[in-house]
Amino acid sequence: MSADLRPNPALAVARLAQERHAVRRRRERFGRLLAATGAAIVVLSILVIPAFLLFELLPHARMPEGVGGRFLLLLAGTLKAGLIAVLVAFPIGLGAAIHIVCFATGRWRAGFRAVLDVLAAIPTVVLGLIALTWLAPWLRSHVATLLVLAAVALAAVLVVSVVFGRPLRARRSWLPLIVLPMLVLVAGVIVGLDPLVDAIAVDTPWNGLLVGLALGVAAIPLVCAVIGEVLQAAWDRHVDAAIALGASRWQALRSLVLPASAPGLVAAALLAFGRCTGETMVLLMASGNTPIASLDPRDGLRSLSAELALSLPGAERGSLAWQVLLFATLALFLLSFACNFAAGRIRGRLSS
Amino acid sequence: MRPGRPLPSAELRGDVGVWLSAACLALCIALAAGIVVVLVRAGLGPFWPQPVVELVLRDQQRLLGEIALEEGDAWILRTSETARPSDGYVRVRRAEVLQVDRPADAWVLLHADGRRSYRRAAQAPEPGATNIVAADPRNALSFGEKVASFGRNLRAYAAGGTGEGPGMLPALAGTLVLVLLMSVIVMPIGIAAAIHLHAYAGPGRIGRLVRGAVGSLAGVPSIVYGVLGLGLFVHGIGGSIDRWFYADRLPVPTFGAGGLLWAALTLALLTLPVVVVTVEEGLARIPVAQRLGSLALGATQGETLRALLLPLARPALLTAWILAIARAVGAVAPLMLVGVVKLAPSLPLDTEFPYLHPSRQFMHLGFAVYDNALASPDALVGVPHAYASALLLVGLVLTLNAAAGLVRKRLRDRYRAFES
Amino acid sequence: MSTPLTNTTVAPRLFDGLERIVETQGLSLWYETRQVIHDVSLTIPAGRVTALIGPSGSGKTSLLRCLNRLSQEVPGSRMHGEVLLRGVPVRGADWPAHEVRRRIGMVFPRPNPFPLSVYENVAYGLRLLGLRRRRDLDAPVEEALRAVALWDEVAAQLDEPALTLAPGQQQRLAIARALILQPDVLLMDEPAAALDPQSSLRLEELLRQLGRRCTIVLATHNLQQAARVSDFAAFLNDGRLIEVNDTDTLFTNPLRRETEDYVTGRYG
Repeated sequence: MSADLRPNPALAVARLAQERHAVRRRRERFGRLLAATGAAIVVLSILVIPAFLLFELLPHARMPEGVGGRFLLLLAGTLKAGLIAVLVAFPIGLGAAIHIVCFATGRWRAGFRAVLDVLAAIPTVVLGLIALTWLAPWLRSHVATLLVLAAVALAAVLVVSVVFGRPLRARRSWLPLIVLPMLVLVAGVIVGLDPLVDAIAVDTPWNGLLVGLALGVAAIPLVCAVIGEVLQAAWDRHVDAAIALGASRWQALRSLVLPASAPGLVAAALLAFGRCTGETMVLLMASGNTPIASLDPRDGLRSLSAELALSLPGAERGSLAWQVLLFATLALFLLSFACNFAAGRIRGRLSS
Repeated sequence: MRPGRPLPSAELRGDVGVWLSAACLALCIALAAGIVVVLVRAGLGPFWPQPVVELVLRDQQRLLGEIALEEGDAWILRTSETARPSDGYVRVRRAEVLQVDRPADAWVLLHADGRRSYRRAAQAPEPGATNIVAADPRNALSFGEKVASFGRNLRAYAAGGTGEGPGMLPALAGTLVLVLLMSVIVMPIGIAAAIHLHAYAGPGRIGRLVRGAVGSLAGVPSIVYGVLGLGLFVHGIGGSIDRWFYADRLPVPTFGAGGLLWAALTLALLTLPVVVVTVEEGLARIPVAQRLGSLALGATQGETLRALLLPLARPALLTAWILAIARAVGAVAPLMLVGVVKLAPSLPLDTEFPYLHPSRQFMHLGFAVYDNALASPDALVGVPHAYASALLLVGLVLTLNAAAGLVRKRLRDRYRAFES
Repeated sequence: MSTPLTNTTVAPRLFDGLERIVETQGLSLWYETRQVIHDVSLTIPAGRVTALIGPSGSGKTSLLRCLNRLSQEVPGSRMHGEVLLRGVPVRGADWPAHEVRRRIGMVFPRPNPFPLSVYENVAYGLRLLGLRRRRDLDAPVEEALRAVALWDEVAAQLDEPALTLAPGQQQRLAIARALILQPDVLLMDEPAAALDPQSSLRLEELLRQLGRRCTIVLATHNLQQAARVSDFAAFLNDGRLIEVNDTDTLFTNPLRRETEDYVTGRYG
């Protein structure tokens, strides 16, 4: 006895369903095909990049003299820029992430995250512009001033932390807004006083330091986001137990959360390094594009990406220059891929 | 840690760490605010009417003009231009200057050919033989008049009619057309891939493969996409198209050179991961009960998606689109290889058939920033252009991100209605 | 890998004279490596209300989902054994999954109306079958809503969002949604679980009415509800079918000690 609700079934649903079977099966197959095509395109895309590069490069077996040397110079430049950038971005990103995760609550947290989103949204070409036109002329004669500024600011924060001690619970979240005017004041005073002008001789305004600073600023949001994620997970896991044992937040952070997140911090640094080495606009605009390999941040550098942007449009297809540039592309691709892969593995192990 | 749970006040030992981390965050705030301020000042500043100064030098020379730049111990003064625009810049050492005045009767005159000249006169000079287009008594303007002048300058620049450059309209138009063409390519593919991941692939081997591919794509440097675009699309496919269809025009390339189509394709690859991840995330947020409910009524996976899940995920689709555009607008490096130019002879979208010309070169806002900053022959004119373009670019990106954030919030609220 | 035949106690000649509309034969279900249903051979008689009772976690929901092939939507699930609808295997080539689900409707513990209007919720299944125009859908929608005693309450609000209805109404809407497809069997998975006692009783009244002309399988952990509404009862424990009998006998005179312990409230 079926669930026949009417005495006289004018609408025989079973028959209707039977009639529609074929059409629905066709449509379902077509839909699956479309979806699978999209997925296939994605997989194809990531394979096409190295495949294309290798395809163009393999027929030409050997690289002639001198090219290898230039390539290494470019690679050195790329790595140097990435390294300085990470050195700049990591501490700041770490500090910001610590504050957002451990000391800020509710709307302050959302607000701080929004600020970092603003920083992340700024296109790198704009950062390059500011570095090139605004920072470079000043930095040329004021490297020592910058160092003094950093040292004084750090000292000021330390002094204030000792003098004012523990911020009350109520002030904890918006502590950065208290520190901000302090930093601005210190910066204003130091820049106004202009000490040690030209104390550190700098040959060119477009050097590793400038690039490192600009790239570092670009990388801060990424570092902060990744570390924030890792810290949050570890924080949620450990903090209740630690507080129950009478530890302060900072103690919980230092003794439990940070060590537990250490692999995540490494992953964040790796990701930032990979992102910075792949960056083009800042390097193009602020590095001076001088192909020298030197550990001194006061010297310029030329990166793989800038070389590509500058030389590739003019290179004739199939020519020697073309091959060299494609090889540089492959190197850049592998470098980024390796950094991302390693970081992914580390994070994967963390979450398991 | 459940946020908001009260803790004993004695728990903030380790003050140094707290203050230091706060300082780091303060630095980030300062950076973000500082960048915006610098952009606004440098981008809008040039449009604000500058005072006209008269410098009296040690050697009794008198110079009338506007201070364009302060460079170390010297000033760059812009004086009357005689033969061409921008030929009146003079460098004056501060040490040589005895006196600086702001005469109230100074006039700034704009000529029809774009030249500027400065004059002291009791009343407005006649248009006469020197083809004066506009004249303003700069130092005698009230605040309100200055604001009006500011607005006029802005409008003129945006429309491109200052004679000092093409203005921002072509670059903006080029950017928008590019981004729209890219959207048409990337959205269907991205949505299809996300659907596949959500409904058909699952956590199995294929799902892991596709997700791995998406993650890898996200990590590829943007310039590498540009190289692929140049090598594979422009030379490879474009060259083939030229050989097959436009052989009579060779060696002048039609599709075998950089252009709108290849740039859109390249950017589509670049933003593909953003779309896939955002859409899949949106689909995953839909409560399982909805999907099961639909299946239990005899719907297939595809029918469930079409009738229920995709409409529910509309905010996520919108967010994905906005985020893709935001990412594309900021990507300059790949475009330098696949078709962006400093000055395009014509817009890629115009009124002659077929209205959209995908083989044409185009202008782009981000590239305008780079080009004006570095490659402009006159740095004093180029840099303000660069900043103006940069300001517009950043404004655009921030607006897009804010819009995406709003849409995301609406999505969350919508799902909360389900739970209750 | 297969477990030995469960020792199910079925009262003899229980289903004499009744059509066996749904049968499972040696049904076992695994989620990854965990086995949730062990070798269940259950018969559902047509035109009656059969209750599936047992403590939470005993596999009632999983068993129901095997009947309409919804269990295959869980990744990592594996099924052994057969499910027959009128003697035809549901996993066979005769019907695709979506047709099985049309014939075996399901109502979920928590009402899950779609974010559409009341009308569109009910018409959802028919639209899948190609009926597009309102005038073709109006009559079946009204029939279905009347069958669940909802028509008078919502006739003026057919185009309002279904989410604005009260939970009790939403659950009846869910039943209407399934009924409009003229299913052979209606599976109810704890339909009153999310309802207040008053709505719950109204739902039970509806089930009793529907049960007179429709085959219903009702999974519930509420023993009183099962006693009030059902004709037959099957006791499931830990994924094993322990006893099947007509409801009165199962509750007053169970054949197995395990069953007696459960229905008298000694555990569960």
